[in-house]
Amino acid sequence: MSEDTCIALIGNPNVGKTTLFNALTGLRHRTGNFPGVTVEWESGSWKIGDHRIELLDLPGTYSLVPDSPDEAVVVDVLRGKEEGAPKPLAILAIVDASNPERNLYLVSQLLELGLPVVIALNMVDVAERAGLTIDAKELSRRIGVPVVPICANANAGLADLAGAMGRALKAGTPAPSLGIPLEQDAPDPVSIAARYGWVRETLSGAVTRSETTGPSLSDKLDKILTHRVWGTLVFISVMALVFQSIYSWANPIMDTVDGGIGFVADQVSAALPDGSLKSLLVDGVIAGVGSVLIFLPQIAILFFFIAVLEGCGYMARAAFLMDRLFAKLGLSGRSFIPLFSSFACAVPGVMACRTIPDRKERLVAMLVAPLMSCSARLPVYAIMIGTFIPAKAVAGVFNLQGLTLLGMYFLGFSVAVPIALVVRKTLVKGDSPPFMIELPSYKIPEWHVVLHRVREKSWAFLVRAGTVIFGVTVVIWALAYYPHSEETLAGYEAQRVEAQSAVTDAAALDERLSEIGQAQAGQMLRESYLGIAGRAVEPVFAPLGWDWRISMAALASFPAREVIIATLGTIFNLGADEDEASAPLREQLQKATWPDGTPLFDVAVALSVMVFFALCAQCGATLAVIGKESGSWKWAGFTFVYMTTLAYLAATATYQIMSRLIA
Amino acid sequence: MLTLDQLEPGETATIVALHHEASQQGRLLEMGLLPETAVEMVRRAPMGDPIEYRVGDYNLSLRAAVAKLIEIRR
Repeated sequence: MSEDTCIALIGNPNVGKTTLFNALTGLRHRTGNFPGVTVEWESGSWKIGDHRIELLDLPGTYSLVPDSPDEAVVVDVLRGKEEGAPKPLAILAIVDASNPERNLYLVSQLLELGLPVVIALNMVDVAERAGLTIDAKELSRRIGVPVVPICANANAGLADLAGAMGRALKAGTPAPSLGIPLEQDAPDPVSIAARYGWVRETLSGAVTRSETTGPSLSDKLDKILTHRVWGTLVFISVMALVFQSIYSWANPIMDTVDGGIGFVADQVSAALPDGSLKSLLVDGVIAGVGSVLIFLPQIAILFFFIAVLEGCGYMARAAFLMDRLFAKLGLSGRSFIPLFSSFACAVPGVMACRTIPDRKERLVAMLVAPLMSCSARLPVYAIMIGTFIPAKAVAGVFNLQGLTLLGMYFLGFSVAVPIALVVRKTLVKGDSPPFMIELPSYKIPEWHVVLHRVREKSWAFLVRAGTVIFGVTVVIWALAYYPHSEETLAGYEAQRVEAQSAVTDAAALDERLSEIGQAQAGQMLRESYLGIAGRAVEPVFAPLGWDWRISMAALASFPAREVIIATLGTIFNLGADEDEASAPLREQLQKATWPDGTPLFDVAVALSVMVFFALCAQCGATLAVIGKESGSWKWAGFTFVYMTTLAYLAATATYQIMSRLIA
Repeated sequence: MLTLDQLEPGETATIVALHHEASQQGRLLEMGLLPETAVEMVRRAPMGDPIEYRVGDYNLSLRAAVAKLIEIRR
């Protein structure tokens, strides 16, 4: 036994596998109630006696004859064929004691791998409440491998489990085979029947069933949560609550962060002499990165809700409720999780598509996943809505700002409908897959898992803000600052000298100097490299109601869309008079004007910006992951082209219609 | 022929045979929908489809189109 010794942890979905993994290795990662939520394997260090061995956490699976790429990973690892993963020397099989039959089916296949097997009989407490008592000793004698009763979420039985695994590793005896070889490609009905025959025979006598008293708590909850009327109402309310809270809960925290950033900018501004360094720090770094950081609270709240909904088992119900709708698109309820996750971020969303067994459905889900409004779009919506949409009450309880936000989320989803239909009928033809999904018992989400998830995602966002966004911000700042013509500066300096000698009244002089400052800032920006390039592309974006500054900000956001806020922050800060340079971006946007002095932004422009960002494929990471997961760059290219075209046309239509309606 | 999709909530029946294409049968069998197994219909989803069943000790939902190809007897 050494550090290199590797053991594979395997079991059906929803049997507490990830909880056991965390309990054994102390390594924290998320657990979910949705079949197949653990898409990739992870490993951790498990202490057995005086030794530490490597424990590999594999995706939950029902069978070793793979039905999806997700399950193919499991088989590849177990056979030592997965690149980069060590070949396991033994198997730790986790079995749900409250559902022994279907769980032992997987065990019947594991026995054929020629490795030592130890069975962890989990949730014995839940099973007993359901009237199921399993005689672990008898079961162990019948199967011929150790069976250890545990409660992973209460850390019970783990020492016994380590002891049993230690002895199994030392002996190295392969589990006794049933003589039913594993099918190579498709499951064989005769083998399946033979395995279930073995399972039933093994369980009879080792399991005692007592009459339970009425329906379980899960059944009672499902009576309401999947009810025709109440279930639908709850579903809509849950979704509305998620989006409403993202907006209202985050606001006070955001104001605090906003104030903090303004304070830092003022301090730096006061401490440094005028010049390019001060401009880089204040206009570039603080204004740019700072305006992205503000959105951390909203991102944390969104991931919190996704983690809770997954952790409690509601996500599988959502798939059950939504399947009929998805069936109309040639998809299934299985696509609900990948698509709902894409509301947080399309990258994990596209990766979650691996849990969809049907190849065609998987591809369609991947192609429309980036249309779901991800958390990186949230900053754009938040700043535009917060600044330009009035906070009016609608129908008493709702807020116009919250409704607009909901509308933007709805837009992406409703556009995905025809796209999915068209793609399914043309590029990816064929029958819908048979829909089958397990509805696991409800659980109280494990709070440390939820909080870990929130922390992990927030950190990932911060890292992005510190790297990609920081980099783009500095580039944008440089393009907007240079060439920084001395000649132009001298011209405005001359105007100042002239004003100081000509105007004697102090108040009038201040006003005049401020005018000159503003004109200078605007002129310097227009003369910058960014200004020159921006005015060249301005006609392209004119139908959207944008000036060259918005256009440049949007173009700079193609690698990662949340860059828009940083870019707007930098551009409008540089274009502002120094006295107000540290004002929040909201105020800068409100004050921005066209050359003729009319306000740059109104509701129509704000909506056109939001619609563009809702539909455009501005995310290099998503396109890369689509290319990788679909196995072809063709699909990444297709996604980029269709989304960008759609965004341009829809934003144009929005501006043209809204500007006429408002005027 | 009596099929699984015809059950009403609370009704239990025994599977007689699966009439799906070979490629679709495998996973259904592996999930425990074997001939001679008792299955209880639990409820329909709000939009009428899919249908939730109790198979052994767990709950599984199937689309009506899939359940329609599972022959049962009461």
